[in-house]
Amino acid sequence: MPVVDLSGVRLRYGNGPEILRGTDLVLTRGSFHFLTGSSGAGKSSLLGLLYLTMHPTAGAVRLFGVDIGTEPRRRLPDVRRRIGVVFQDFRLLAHLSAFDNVALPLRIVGTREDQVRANVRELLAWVGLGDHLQALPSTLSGGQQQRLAIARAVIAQPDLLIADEPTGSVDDSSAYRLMRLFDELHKMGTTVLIATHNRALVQAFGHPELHLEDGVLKLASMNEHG
Amino acid sequence: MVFLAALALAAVMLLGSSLHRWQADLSGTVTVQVPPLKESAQTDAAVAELVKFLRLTPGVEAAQALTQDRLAALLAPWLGETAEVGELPMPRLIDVRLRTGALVDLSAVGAKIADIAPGAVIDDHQVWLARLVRYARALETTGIVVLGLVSAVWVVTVLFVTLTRMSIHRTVIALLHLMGATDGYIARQFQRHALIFGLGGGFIGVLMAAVALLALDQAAADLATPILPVPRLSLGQWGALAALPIVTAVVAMLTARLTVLVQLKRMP
Repeated sequence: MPVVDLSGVRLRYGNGPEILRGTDLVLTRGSFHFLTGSSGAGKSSLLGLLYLTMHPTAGAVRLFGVDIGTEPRRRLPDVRRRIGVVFQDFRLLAHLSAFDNVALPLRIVGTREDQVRANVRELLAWVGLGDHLQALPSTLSGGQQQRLAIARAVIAQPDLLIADEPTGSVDDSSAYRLMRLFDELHKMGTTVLIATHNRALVQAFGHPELHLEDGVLKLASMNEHG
Repeated sequence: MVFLAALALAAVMLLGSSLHRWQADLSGTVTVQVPPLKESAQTDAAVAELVKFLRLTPGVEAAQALTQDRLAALLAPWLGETAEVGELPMPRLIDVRLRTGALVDLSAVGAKIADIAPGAVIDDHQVWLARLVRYARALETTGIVVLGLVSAVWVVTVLFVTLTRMSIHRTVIALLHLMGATDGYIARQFQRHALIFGLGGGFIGVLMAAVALLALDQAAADLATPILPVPRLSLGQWGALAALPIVTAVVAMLTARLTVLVQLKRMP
């Protein structure tokens, strides 16, 4: 069963032009893809469909075998909990410490606090923020904040990790470090989809590239290991 | 808001208990008025004969003529302590208490009384009581309407405060929603705040109302006159006021929860 299965998806905002025109996309379990395209091509909109912040104008969206269009709204939180999302602007909660930011997805589902403590400490150490548990996001560098955001996105062990321009707000060296994190997560079995316009990263890491242009999604290239 | 609600509630409760007391005090009692005759001795004899007759009337539990001293005490608020009531052409009064549940034909008794002492009449207070009850009920209804309006304003206030907080925290809400928080989980964050806000405001409001009511009570007691009986809240009624913060908090909590759930339904 594919993790993501979009079929004939169309998306339009109001009476504007179609952002997505009959998009088909299948992501199998454990795959890693880059999503590329020029600014305004619709990458963020496509990702928005996948992490359920919007509905398509037409077509079907199936995640983990669940037809999102027909699934009752009260069951969608269960689908969302299987998806981790990383944003370019981090979207960390400024009033919460690093620890509490990362703990949030676990607390939402009612995880026991001792388990929360253990898991969060371990993960923050893994992303290199073990010494910054009580730090507020504003006291961290861009790279550190993004690592914190990645930790929050994966603490609940999601089946699908989506990142929308995760390296857009950090320097090149931080960008490479972040990508290596994503690679590690992928090796652990997470399905990863990263939207980026950073061609250097795409070429450096060589994962399959899905290119969005004029509302149409195409598989741009496969690396040798593909 | 709670301060106003507490005052309105206190007014409604006081009116209700006063009304109940007036009705209890006056029902089952009638007053016989005996006009003064030329000689006071003649008046005394007529009164004595009427009392004797009334005590023998079926359905009458007790009949007692008011003494001059008692009459003077009743008239003191109007005439002063030094007035010589005996020298005034005042009717003599006989206080009659009827047996509970007894059916007494007052018109027949009135006719007999008039035979014994021409000009004597029975007053069953019903006309006066009916007017008093009507007036008190109108005040009570006004109090209930005020209480209802204050409650409605409270609900609307909580609703707008909640909407404002949701707007301020919209990015947090969007993030929680994205992470898979249920609508109920998000609503609980707001209803917790509303509960604390309602409890805190409720306690302050009730405390202020209690101070105001106690001050009014003291001021009324200083009047020291039977014209205006001092209404006092019973222990149970004070308890009802004390429960107001909890009611306020629960209403705030439920209003916040409902507001948040309705707003969240607009999210995909």
